[in-house]
Formats: sequence, C-alpha cells, structure tokens
Amino acid sequence: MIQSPYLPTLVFYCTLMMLCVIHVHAVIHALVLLTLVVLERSLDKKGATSFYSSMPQNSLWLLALMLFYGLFLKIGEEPFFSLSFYGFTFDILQGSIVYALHFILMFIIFLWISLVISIEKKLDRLQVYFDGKLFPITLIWNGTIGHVRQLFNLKSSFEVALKARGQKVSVFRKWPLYLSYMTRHYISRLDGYVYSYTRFKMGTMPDNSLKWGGVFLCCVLFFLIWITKTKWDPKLNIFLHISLLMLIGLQLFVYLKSQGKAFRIVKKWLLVDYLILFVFALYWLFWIMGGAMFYRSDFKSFFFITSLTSFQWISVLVVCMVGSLYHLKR
Amino acid sequence: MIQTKKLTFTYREFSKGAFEPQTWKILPHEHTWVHGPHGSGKSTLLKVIINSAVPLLSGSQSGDLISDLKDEDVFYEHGHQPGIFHFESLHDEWMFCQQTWGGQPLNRFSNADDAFKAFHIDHLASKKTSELSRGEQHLLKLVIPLSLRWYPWMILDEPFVFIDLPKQDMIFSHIKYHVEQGSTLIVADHAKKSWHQHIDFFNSIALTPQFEYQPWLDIALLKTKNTDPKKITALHDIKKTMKFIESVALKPKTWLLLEGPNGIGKTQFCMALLSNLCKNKQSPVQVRMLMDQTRLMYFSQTLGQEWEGHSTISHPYAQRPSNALSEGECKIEMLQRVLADQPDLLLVDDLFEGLNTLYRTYACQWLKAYKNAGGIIVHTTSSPLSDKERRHIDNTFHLGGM
Repeated sequence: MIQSPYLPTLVFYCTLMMLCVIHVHAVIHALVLLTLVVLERSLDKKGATSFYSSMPQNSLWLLALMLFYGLFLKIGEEPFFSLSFYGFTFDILQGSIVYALHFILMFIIFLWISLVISIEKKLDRLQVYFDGKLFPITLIWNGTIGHVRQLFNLKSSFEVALKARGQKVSVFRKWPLYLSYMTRHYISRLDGYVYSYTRFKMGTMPDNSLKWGGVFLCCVLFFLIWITKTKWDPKLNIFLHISLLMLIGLQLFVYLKSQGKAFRIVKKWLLVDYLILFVFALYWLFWIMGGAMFYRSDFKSFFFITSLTSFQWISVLVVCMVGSLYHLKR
Repeated sequence: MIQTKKLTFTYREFSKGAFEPQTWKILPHEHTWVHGPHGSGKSTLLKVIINSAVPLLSGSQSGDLISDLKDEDVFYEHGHQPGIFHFESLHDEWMFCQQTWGGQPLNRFSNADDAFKAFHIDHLASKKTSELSRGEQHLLKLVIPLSLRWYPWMILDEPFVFIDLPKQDMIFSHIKYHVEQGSTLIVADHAKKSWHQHIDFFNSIALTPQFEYQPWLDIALLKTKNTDPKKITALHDIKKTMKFIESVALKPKTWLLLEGPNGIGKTQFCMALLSNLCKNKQSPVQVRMLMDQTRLMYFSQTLGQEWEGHSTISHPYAQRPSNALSEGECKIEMLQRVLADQPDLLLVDDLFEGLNTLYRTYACQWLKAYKNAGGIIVHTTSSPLSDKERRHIDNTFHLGGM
C-alpha cells in the first residue's frame, strides 16, 4: 500500500483558481500571479516554456480583448473615457474596465496554472493518487491536462509549419490564422480522443446527467453574462453561483456513486488528506455565507487594498494555510 | 459477425459517398484485407464499421450494416491519429489502462515491467510520455492495448506508420498471438507484402477512389538554379553548429538520407536545421521542410488557397477542401507545394511513411528532378527504402546501428 501525499497539490491549485474567480480585486489577482511566478521558478523547468516570459508577446492580444470586454460589459456608473467613431460614441465605464481586467487576469491565471501543473515534477504521482478513489474525476483531470498539452503542441506545430513553408505573416494576421488553424486541427483529432475515452470502463456513468449538466452550465453562464451586461443584482448572483456549486457537487456525487467496485483502491487516504479536504470545503462554505462575488464598479474599490473585506482576508489566509501544507508535503 | 448491404457513408460536407456501396459479410476468424489507392475511403469504411459500436463519424450512412460488435470487443487503431497519454510515467499509464481496459480473465500481463520486457521496450520505461518521439508514441499506442488483454476483433488502419522495421516484426509476433487466441483481423494498409507474410487473409475488399485526385506537378517546373556562392558559405556556417553534419558535404545537387530507428532524433535534427537557418535573417539560404505530420502544414480551407502566391501555377483541384484529402494525398500534395517554391535546401521527414508504390514513385521522380536542378535534399526514414528508391541518393547515414 503506497501512501500518497498529493492531494494538497491539487487542492492548492484548485484554490488558487477559485480565489481569482470569486474575488474581483487587483490585490488578490496580484497575489495569485506572484505565487505563480514563484511556483514556476521553483519547479523543474527542463524543456518547459516560461509563461512569465511569454506574457509581453501576448500583451497586444490581451489589450484587444480588454477593449472588447470594455465595450461589451456595462457595469457601474463612473465613466472612464468615451470613444467616438464616425458619429457613434461608446462610453466606457470604470466598472467595465474593472471586470475586463478581472476576466483577462482570470484567463491568464487559468492558462498559467494549467502550464504549471503540466510541468509539475510530481504530476504523474498526483494522478495516481486518485486511482480507485475518484476515477472519473481523474480521467477528466488528466484528459484536461492532456488536451491543454495538445493545444500547446499545436501552437509549436503552427510555428514549425510556418517556418517549414517559408510563410511570413504579420502579427495581426498571425493570431487569427493560428486560431483557425488550432480549431481545425483540434476538431479533426477529436474523433480519436472520443474513441480512446469510450474505451475506459466508466461503470454505469450517467451520460445523460453529464449532458444535461453541461447544457445547464452553459445556460447559467450565458445568463450570468447577460445579467452582468445590464444590471447587477447581488441576490441573483449568489443564487447563480450556488446553483453552479450544487451542480458540481451533484456531478461529483453521481460519479462517486457510479464507480462501484470496478476499480481497485491502490492508495491510502491519510488523516491529513481528509483534513485538507475539510478545510477546502470550509473555504467554500465561508464563501457562500460571505456573500459570493464582490461588486466593484470603480477603480478605487478594485485597486485599493483598503476595500478588501475581512472575509476576503480570511480567504487569503485559508489559501496561505493550504499553500503551507502543500509545501510541507512536497 | 459484420454484414453490409449497399453500405456507404457521406460526410456532412459532401454530397457524394466516401466509398462505393459495399455488400459483404465477415464472420469471426475470417481475416479481411481492405485495399485500394489513396483516397478510396479505406479509413472511412473502417470507421463506419466501428461507428456501430463507438460513434466516430458525423455524416449520413446509407444501406444496411448488421454488426454484433461491442466496444469492449474491439481494438481499433488508426496509425495516423496521434496518441494521447494521461500520465507522464509509462508505468502509471500502463497501470491506469490496465485498471480501466483490462480485466480478468483476459489480462495478459500482471505488471508493466513484464509487459515492457515482452515487447522489448524496457529502455522506454524510464522516459516521460511527453518526451517520446513520434515513432515511439505510435509504438506505445499498439503496445499498451496489445499487452493488456485479448480482443475478439482487431480493426487496424495502417498501424505501422512511423514504426521502424524491427519493432514492426515484434508487433507482428504479438498480433499473431492474438490471432492464435481467436482474434479476427480487419486490416487496411499499403504494405501488402509484410501483412501477407504473417497472416492468411480470407477476404479482400477492394475500394476505388470516389473523388478524383492525382499528383499533378509538372516536372518541367523544377528548372535549373544558379548557385549563389554566398549560399554555399551560409551552409558551411550551419555545418559548424551541427555536429553530425560536419562530415557531410552540403552542396547543391546532393541527396542525403538519414536512416535510423525510432527515437534516435531524426525529426529533432531536421527541426534544428530548419530553425538554425530560419533564425539567421541574413542567411540567403531558402529552406523548406516536409513535416512528418504533413496534415499540420495546412493553413487554409481549400487547396487553391494553399497555393496563393504561385500565380504561374494553376491548381487542377483548387476547389477541393484540404481536410478532405486522405493521409497519402495530404503528403503528396504538400510535397508538391514545397517543391514548387524551389528552395535551396529541402528537408523531408519520413517522406515515404504511409505512401503506396505509385505515390512513392512520383515523390522519387520529383526529388530527383529537384536535385538535378541544383537542390539539396536531407531525407529521413525509419523504414528501409527499396534499391530503386536509393538509386539517386548520394550519401546514406545509418544512425543507431540500423
């Protein structure tokens, strides 16, 4: 029986991701980004691309994305600036920029965490930990990492293909070309992946619950975006987030229930592992009770440290605690 | 049992069937050989058969298909499809697959070490899956499922592409073991000779192309080039940085062949040469490369768009969607595209893998004409070439004792 200490790693990364999803505050994002810089440097970077160094290259694209978000979202009342274009005037509000920054930073952090996980030395061990315990979750987790890797590989194939064919494209042409290239080649590979996944014995895994769960998730997300575009209702926001949580919980429950005894348990869960899971669950509970996402409609509340509430400080404390456990177990 | 009556399949994007209507019956233990030129719909036919057990295709099927195949009874392998590994360590990958695909009483090996030993790939056990070469990945796509359990049906679509000859022989011996245990094979491949040496096929299904496509580049377009002395100097500079190539004369009208087993670094060598030459913006040397995964070299929707910029050449299949090409057509079309640029140096990585004799002949003729026009070719291969194909090669380097 092998005792596995890798749950903290997973919990730590998940907490980092959640932290930036739920807290709309520059300080929280900065904290997470700083942690990622430190993490990336502390990991074995042999053969891995440094995400940190690739950030300036992508800044133009991110700026364009921010402008798009700024035009699309209408949050708050404080104006930031106006864009006049052939008689049309677009008012960009401070709240829109705040959320644009929030979404972009969230996007960067998610991508970065995927990369950090993929270069984590103990990645293979981390997945083995769940073997027999949370098999479908492992499959999804591993599959996600596998697919993120495939996307990174497609980016390098794209670069090689450009060189191989002697194509010289401008920066403005390169990104759209890459996006269409990636979509086309990724979709063409999906058949094979679908086949490889169906080969795994999923027991009585409820396909329908997955399907309908996915449809529900998409509807909720769309609804959320639509709501944020017109007006912000904190109660509705809490309801949407709780429904999302319930959905994830329900899926997890159905997965566990469907596992049966098909998979041998090869790893032992230690008391400390249960403790970490408990802390993780407590964190979520605190978050729900604390009033879900925080509404920021101007720069002052987004950038200033004084606008952080006691609940947000507790969240940061929890993350620090999980982070310490993670490093203790490494 | 698999039985078809006027079966055909039309992809969503097309109005015409991918293969002609099929009527036949395959009973257990009756091994079947599916053959036909490139683009005749062999891969699609196999996918349609599998589709009854696992959904793989989007389009409309007409005619009848009666099949009692269950997904757990079938081992399907499409050689050109890249593998996806879930773990960094091969041991973990094997153990994971064993617990999910395997199962008593069909388990072949109880642990990864025994399996790797039986397949003579112990040396790969210490490698990370993300560090495997393309050939090694393809090999593992076969080794892992074959070492796990026995399958009543094995549907194999060009399973040996990018795998070197000794490893192909080793895999053949394991396929034979499965056949002795009662597996039924349905195989589509261009390497008829090697398969018929090992397996007695009972049925043969011949397919003919439904969409017209032939290699079309006019050899006369590859005109003689005037060699610029600066280019020779630039190539000489590259030689200094490439340890291997130090002993080789990289001069116009040369065709070099690098022969070696999987994982020896042939593709990496080509990539290094390519990036070395592309990095130096002052270098006058024009370089092109035919990647082993040729499909990844396509950027546009149609073949006509891929040839934009070549105003003198009129493409006979300009309207054809690039994703509708078969693997072989994909390769030969892109070879024509890079040759039409008439580069100073052409790198061709595993050119002949997955090509039938006709397409190989076309490729040889073009490369010969390109070489005679003053070009330099660096060509890699995992499987041996015929004497006829070697005739115009000036230097052959055997890597890793092949």
